[in-house]
Amino acid sequence: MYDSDATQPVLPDLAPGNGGFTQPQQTITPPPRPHGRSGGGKKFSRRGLLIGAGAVGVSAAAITTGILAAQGKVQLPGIISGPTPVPAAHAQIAHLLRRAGFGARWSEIQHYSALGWTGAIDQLLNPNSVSDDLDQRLNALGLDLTRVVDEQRWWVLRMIYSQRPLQEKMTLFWHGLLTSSYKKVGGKSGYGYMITQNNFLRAHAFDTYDNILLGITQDPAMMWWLDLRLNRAQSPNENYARELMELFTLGVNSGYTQSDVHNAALALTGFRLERDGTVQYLPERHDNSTKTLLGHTGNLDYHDVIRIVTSHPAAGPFICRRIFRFFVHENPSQADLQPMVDAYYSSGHNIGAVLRAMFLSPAFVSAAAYRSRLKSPAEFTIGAIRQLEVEVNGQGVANIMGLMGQTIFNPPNVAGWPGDQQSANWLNTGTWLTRVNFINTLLNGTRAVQGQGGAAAGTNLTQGLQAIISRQNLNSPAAVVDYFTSLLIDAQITSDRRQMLIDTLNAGGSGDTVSLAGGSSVSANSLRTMLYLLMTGPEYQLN
Amino acid sequence: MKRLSRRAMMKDGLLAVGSGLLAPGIFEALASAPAHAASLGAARTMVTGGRILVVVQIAGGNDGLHAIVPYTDPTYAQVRPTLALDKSKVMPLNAKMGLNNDLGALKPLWDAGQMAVVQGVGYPNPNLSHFQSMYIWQTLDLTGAQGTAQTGWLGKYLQSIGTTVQQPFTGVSGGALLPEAFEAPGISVPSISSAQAFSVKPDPRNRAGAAQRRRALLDFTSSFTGDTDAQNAFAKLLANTSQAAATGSDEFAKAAMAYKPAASAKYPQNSAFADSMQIVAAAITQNLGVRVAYVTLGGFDTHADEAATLGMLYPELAQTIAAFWRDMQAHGMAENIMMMTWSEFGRRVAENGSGGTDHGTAAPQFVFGPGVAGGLHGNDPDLTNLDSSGNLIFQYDFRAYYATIIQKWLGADAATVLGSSFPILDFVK
Repeated sequence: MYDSDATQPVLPDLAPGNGGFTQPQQTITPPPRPHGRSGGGKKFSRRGLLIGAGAVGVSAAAITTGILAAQGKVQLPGIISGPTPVPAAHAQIAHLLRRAGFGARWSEIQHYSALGWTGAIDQLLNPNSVSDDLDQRLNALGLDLTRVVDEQRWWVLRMIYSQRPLQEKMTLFWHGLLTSSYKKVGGKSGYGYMITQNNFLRAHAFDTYDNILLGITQDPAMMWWLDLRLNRAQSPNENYARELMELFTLGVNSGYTQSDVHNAALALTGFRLERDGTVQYLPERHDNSTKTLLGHTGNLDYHDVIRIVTSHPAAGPFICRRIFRFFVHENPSQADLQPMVDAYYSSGHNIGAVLRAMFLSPAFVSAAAYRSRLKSPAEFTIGAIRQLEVEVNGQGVANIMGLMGQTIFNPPNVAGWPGDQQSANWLNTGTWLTRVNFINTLLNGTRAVQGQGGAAAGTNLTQGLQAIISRQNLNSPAAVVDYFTSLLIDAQITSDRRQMLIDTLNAGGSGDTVSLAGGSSVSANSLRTMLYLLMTGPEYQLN
Repeated sequence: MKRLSRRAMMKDGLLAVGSGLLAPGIFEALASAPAHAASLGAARTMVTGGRILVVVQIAGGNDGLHAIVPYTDPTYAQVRPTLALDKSKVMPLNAKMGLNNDLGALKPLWDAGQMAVVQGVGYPNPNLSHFQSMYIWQTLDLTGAQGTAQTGWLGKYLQSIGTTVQQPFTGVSGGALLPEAFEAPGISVPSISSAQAFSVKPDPRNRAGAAQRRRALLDFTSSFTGDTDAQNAFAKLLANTSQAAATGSDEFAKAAMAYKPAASAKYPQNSAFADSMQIVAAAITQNLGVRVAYVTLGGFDTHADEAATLGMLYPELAQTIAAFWRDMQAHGMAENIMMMTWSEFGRRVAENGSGGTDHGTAAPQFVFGPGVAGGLHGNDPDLTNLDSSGNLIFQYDFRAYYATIIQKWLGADAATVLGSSFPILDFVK
């Protein structure tokens, strides 16, 4: 909730129902105020871009085009005119919040823009500096977190309504890497372990990799998933030891051998998973023989194993590449990764430091990063609900995501979702149809995305769109199109495609109307069709 | 189908190349379509008259001993005091083995020589986890837990015959979720739970505008040009996928309208499995170019009350399969089709204390069609020679089971699809 300190400026357009943000300690630079038509297509040097990125608000003119021109060879469609011209700072922050979150509401773009580029990144990386009323919202629903559908609903609602987007996004990243599925966590009595694991990953999202792995090694869901609970000195189970190296830290063909796997399994003995889900470390169950792992010899235990693998020269590049491919683009060069790898080793394997280095690196704001991944099902569904400011109770959303290929708490296998690394994997004819039909559903409302008030969401959404149009004072079809393209795709759209959207909105039609500022109106049918085209279109499908 | 060289693809502008973009496998596979077929709106290549494989997954671990019953084996009666079926509960297939009466709907196929039973199918070092064993059967990654294989065997088969996005129905799955067996870069198999779900849905408040809106959707999706190589690669992927989905859903909608199950077929009512089978039947009989179809019946994890559970499931399974064959017979398609079953494992030989059986290993699999060498194949299960967990020792590797079908029925090179050579068995004519 807001600090009550009245000397802090209240952020504009932060909807009352939105909770709100704790005001940051530093002085807030006001968001840039665009003045009339911004220049289009003007290209800035890389240096100019970075200065702009680092000092949002210093000069609106200096940051007019921003990241899209970063490599000098990208033809910019130009910054459009209208009541809501989009400065580059807006596009940069929106890009940041698509990657470091699930897509931003208008109020969030303004909030983070006001913090400046580094200020925004620092706030995203310090979730505890932002208060969140999420738990109250979730508690009110009376969910049963031992039932899978309620667990999924719980997390979906967190992703939609959290004020700490990067923490939630990073939790999803870890769920795809240090993954587990309810399908193998001890049956019905173990479903609750998925929440235990999820809360651990959230709480430690930016911790050192050592701490994250020490925790996940002793996590009950993981102990089931990769059979560490069955790993005994007399009969070692190599499953976890192998995946710790292959999938979590070093990568296949990074030099470890079957002997390393076996010895790591022996070194990881000593845990016992109790029936109540607690985990004991019992020294008498640990294998005390002398073992050699990746060149280190001794009576190694789990602390040694984690330390050895996270300090290995392959570990930094491995984890940084995984993070980069998830957050930036899919084909990093060694130079792209270097700032992250340096941060990894110099910070004692701190993931927050790695993320900070990544967000501040030139690669993150390069043209190669912009719209360089297909939205994941989570990004697509959660983002659409967030950005249209739809109030949902979360029922059915995980199911729709599942039809798009991403069932949370049930990854396809121990390697997580292939789309996390190569996003084209998310797309096939069936999943494309599901995406398209989801947008149709969202714009109309069905039980699956029914509003909290209990009334048909379609009614609510038309009202919601009306409220947005009134709030933003949109007075013409072009203004409506410009607002939504600014919100959803940074207004980065060619003029002929923008015109297609305006023509769609102008097409008229029978039935309900939505009032514009200044007294005119547009057809509700046409408004839905315009948003349907925009939100199924490639600009929006790409992240 | 001829694969174009990378150079040729670049020349045709099909492959995005340039700074920073390694064309990922999925784009390569899409781009490997011949140039004339890859352009949007081009008529897709019909694959008609070819041989078809229908895969039936029996999910949960089917108890082979309860299906093909060693009803004269004294050990069987001894280790299964409540579950064992006596002579009155089976249809004898030979002096020792009988078909559970609950599967009796299959008997006419057996009698016609169109049902082969391949006994003791399994694999070395069996993994008793459902999940990992299913993964092994679908991806052939025998480590089970490694999770690095991103392709399934049916996906690899579809790749091997040069499937492109212009052939949206070479693979088809009846049901909402796509089986892992179909996963392969560039292979986009529709999962159809109903014709209605596999379609671009109209705006419920503006149904009159549906056709116009759909055209606008495809136009808007296909007319995007990106600013970078990566964006253009995605633009192409989205354009192709949307076109394939639109064409595919149109064709499927037409097929579903035109298809009528034969009066003689008599599919079971109120069965999602039978409904899925009819989706497959529609796609096959309306010549959508199906090469591999897939349907699943689940619920076979019978740790308790097995007799009652299978007493419900076996008739549903057998009656649906029998109905499908009567249907294909009536449509004149049967000669083109072979059907095979798989299940991730069989079950423990001895029953447990709950009137059920725990996870096991090898089990018989069933193959149907005019192309099979009907009858029992392989030795009858030896209930006295078990592994340390009390499970059957497998006799045929599931990969040999696959290889036989790939090689002898589908006419493809099994070693290419499966990654190495396996023995070819004799259950296909």
